[in-house]
Amino acid sequence: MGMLATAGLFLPLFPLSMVFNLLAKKLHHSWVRCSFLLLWPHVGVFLTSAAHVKIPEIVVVWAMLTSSIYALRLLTIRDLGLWSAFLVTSSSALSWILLAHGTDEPTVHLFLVWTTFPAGVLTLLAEPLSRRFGSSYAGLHGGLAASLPRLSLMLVTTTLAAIATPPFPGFFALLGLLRTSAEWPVITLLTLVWIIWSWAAARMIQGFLAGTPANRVFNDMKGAPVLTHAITLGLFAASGLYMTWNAT
Amino acid sequence: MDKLTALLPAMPLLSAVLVGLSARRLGRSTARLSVTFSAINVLCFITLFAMYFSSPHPHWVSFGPAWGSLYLDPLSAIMGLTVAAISLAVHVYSIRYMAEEPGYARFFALLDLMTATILLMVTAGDLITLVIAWHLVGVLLYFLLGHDSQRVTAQRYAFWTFITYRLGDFPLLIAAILLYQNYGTVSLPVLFERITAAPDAHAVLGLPLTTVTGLLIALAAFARSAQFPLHIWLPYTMEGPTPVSALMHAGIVNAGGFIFNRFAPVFMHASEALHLTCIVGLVTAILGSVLMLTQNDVKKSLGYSTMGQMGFMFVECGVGAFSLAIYHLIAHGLFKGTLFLGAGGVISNARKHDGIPHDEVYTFVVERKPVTSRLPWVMAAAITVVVPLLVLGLSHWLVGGLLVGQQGAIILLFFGWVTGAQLLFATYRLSVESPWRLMAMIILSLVIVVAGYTVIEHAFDLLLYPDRTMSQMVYAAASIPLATFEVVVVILSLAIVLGWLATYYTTANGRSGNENTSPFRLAFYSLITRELYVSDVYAWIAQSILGLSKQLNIWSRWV
Repeated sequence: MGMLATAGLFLPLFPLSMVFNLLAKKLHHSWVRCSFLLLWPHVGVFLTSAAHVKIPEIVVVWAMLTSSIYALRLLTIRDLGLWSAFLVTSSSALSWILLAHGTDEPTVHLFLVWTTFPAGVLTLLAEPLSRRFGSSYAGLHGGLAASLPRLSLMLVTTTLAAIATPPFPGFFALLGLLRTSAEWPVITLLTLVWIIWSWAAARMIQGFLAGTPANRVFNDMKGAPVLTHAITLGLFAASGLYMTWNAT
Repeated sequence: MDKLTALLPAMPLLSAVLVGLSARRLGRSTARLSVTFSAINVLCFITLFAMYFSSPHPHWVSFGPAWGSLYLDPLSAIMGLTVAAISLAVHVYSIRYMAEEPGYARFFALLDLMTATILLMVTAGDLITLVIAWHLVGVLLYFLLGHDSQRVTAQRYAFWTFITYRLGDFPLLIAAILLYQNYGTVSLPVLFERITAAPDAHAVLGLPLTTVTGLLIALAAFARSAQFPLHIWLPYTMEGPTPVSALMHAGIVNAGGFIFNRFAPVFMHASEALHLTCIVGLVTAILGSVLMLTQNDVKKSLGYSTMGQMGFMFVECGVGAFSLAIYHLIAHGLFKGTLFLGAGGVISNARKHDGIPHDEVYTFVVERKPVTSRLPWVMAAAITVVVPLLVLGLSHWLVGGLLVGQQGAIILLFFGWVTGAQLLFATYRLSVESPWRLMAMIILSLVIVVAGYTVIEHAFDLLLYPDRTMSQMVYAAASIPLATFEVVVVILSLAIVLGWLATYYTTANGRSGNENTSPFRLAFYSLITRELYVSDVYAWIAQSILGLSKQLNIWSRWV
């Protein structure tokens, strides 16, 4: 049970999740923060599998509440880096449902990759925003759609991937999770969490993209990083499509 | 034929990619590229349409073992052709309309993506493809409506639309999962076969699965087609570019009617869902019409008009007249699309010259001059009450022959009756030299319209539901116990007849009731002008949730 409790620190369960988000907040280098967000929850899956215990039902309830609380809190987060960390907390907490249903370890790892990878990429996008505006706060410097169209496109596509919009793999991961969790309370709460993610994402996107652009001229992203980003997201989407296309 | 089917959603998708990639090099010419692809797409649809009806058997084309398939049947063929044609018109219109707007290429790329998604939705051959397309329509519409990123109102109402559509995505998603879990397939034709073979084989929460999924699909359709109380986004979406309004009102908002038809084999066994749909549709139709009449903003008025039309479409679905809903949505799509696309030109011309002839209609409607000669009110009332009913009843009887057996057809006759009576009443109030001649002309027009409408509707029913058993089963599912129905019919008939008699009597005796400003009337008027405070309630709920979110973040120190 001790190992299971420790797993709650990695596969974040509230209030242990605060440690995860505090650490994410302290990490200022975007690549380090991205790696931290993407790798930390996997440790929880390893620990849970190593514990060889059946996940009690109360943990699933707790995980659902954690996911809901962080989804709700996501609504008023304006900092892109923290927003990504909260989204990872909300989505990775859902993997407890898979673990409770006895899903095999590789599938849970894959679920985590599919649901958290775009949020990790979002933290990388916080860096070019901070470089230009001093911070990556939504609503502080609006009008990016007009002034920085390439960066805006990158931000929009990654955010859509992060909130599990089809055809990105997160959509199929959550679809699989809904199929696995046959209980009505879980299905209801899960769909509510998903809707709130969409709401939070729309607020975030509008905070950056909408409005009148600043008078100062900012350089948009260069071709190479845009292409790298497009290829990364393209491959990510393609992998999900390929794997679900052939699933039974 | 299979390859051609695959091309349908692929063509606009390819166009979107090409427009996106060549935007910098081609500049404004990207629009021509997009229009060319749209035109080719329409041609493909026409070809496919012709090929399908030369050998009328549904085709199911699969591209992957798990999901990713297209289904070509009469419903998808008709819907696809309509969508492709409206999309082409919107594309052509946008070339000049959007010429001065920033993000020209982005707009066309989004328009192409939207066309591809809607075509994928109407031709989807499995549950997953359908859910994906259904989901993506909302996302793309958000970006199309918020195309002008500097307009705060456009952004706000794009968000309203987005969140309502998201609310509508999930019932369909859950319905799809339930159907898959219980029937073990995502393929729509196989699923429908299994449902038809064993409709009562499964239960969820103690209710038959078909009832639960029927209710969930109906909920999804309510959000998509702006049914009360999920309607508030629709009148405000005029803030988006006009071509998007046209596409939305002509195509996207009609998706509710499509989804009912697509899942007809489920609704055949989901009477409760159909009854709920009928009630929600009726409430929406009435509220949409009332709200339309009290708006002082022309665009919002048009929005509420669409809401009323959508309500009526849902009444049709609720009474089992599924094919009529498809005919209605196509007719509404065409006329509303034309209204939107023509609105700019009309306003521009009206600024130069109002162009309104100063005839009897003008003096009556605009100058509100008193009427000089009228028919005797009792005779006019008798004509108003009897003629439309006779025309409608006879035309349906001639075409269908089963009028008495179909409750849905009788309910729809009531709507036709009221509408026809309204037209005759307007004629009665006009000041003309020869009221008999005018009345005869109006009745002739009514006969032509009703006969045409009935024949086309009947043809649509035969086309969409060649298996007459299915059509009869949907009507049967929508029916209520005969005794209850007869009581409702008698009450409604009395209400209509007495209502018209009272209206004629009041009008003939010069009491319009306009001078009556009782507190009740004022309260009702203010309630309607504030759109029943529905958006205020939603705003309060949203603010409360955001307040809670902020409070939680403060308590947990933002970690």
